[in-house]
Amino acid sequence: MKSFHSRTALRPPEPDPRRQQGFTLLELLLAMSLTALLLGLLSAGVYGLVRDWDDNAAGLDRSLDQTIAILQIERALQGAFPHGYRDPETLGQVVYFSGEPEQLSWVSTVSPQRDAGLMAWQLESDPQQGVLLRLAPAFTDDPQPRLQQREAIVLLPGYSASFSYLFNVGNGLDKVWREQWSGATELRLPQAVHVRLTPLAADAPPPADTELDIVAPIYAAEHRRIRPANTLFSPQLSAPAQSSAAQPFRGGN
Amino acid sequence: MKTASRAQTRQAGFTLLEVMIALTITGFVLGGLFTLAGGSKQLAWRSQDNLLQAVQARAQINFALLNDEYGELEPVLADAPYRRTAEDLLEAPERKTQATVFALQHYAVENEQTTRVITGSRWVTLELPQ
Repeated sequence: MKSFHSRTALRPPEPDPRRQQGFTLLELLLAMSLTALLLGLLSAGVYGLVRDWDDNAAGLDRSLDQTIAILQIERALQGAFPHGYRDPETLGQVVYFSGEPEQLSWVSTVSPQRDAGLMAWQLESDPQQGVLLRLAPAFTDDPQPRLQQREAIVLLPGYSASFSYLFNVGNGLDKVWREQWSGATELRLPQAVHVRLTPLAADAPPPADTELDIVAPIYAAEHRRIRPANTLFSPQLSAPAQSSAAQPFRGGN
Repeated sequence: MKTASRAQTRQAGFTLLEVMIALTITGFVLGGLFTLAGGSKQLAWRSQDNLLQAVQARAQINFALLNDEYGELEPVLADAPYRRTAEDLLEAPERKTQATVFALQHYAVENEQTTRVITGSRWVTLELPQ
């Protein structure tokens, strides 16, 4: 220690250490307010960043959900099945398919829960919530009462759906999109179903901001035994040879 | 005690170099963070856009499958930059027991904005058996 003192003794005298024992109040306040300002700016920036990130992640999640829902609807419509049951009033065999402009019920071989057997689906356009879905097993009877007891889930929030049904029988001479289709009177399924999805609000956040379409060809449109009704408006199509003509899609099976 | 306080007074601040290095590092870290967030935002947008396009293209393909070789089917799809074109019939196989009105036909769905083309084949009904 002594040698150290002797070496440093040559330097100019240091200021009194008691005067430099800390910062003054002013310095401290200044430094702290500057730090607070910087931290505040930084945390505001990071907060905005994180919120933006969360918004993006939630939007992407909604987009994925919506796409999966649309693909599921398309699959279920493509797998529509001409489910026959006996009408308790007329005792005749009819095909279950109830297509309205804003609501559609049908029986499909596709079930989202991978349940065995056929599944009755019902899509309904609700002007407040969006597109609602009801599911019920289609046993051998009319699944409509069971469908009505089921709780509806909101499948596509923020969208309204309108349905149209392709009438296309015979060799392609009459192709009309109809607004309604009743399996009980037609005794067959439509050739295809078109679902137009329109956003409920004009300024909705993505993904519910674009008009979308679902087009699903129905391959198994006719029942094995139940013959289609001759309610066709074109006389040339009422010929039995043409109404029972195999559809081109079946030709590949 | 005395030596320590003297050492402190000699080091009573950072040099310019130290401050600059610290600022550069902080800048890099913050810049990396913001770039990451911006990149993920862009990625999210692009994937949302791709999902939308996939849904639209699927509707177009299914519409093209609707046996609409004469184009008399009312085009119900919402305005989208897609164009469906029917192309040549596939050649029928040589050995065939019976003439049929069903044939396979090529079709193409073209997105006019991205110039992406989806091709496939579909069953069509001919007017005369071949």
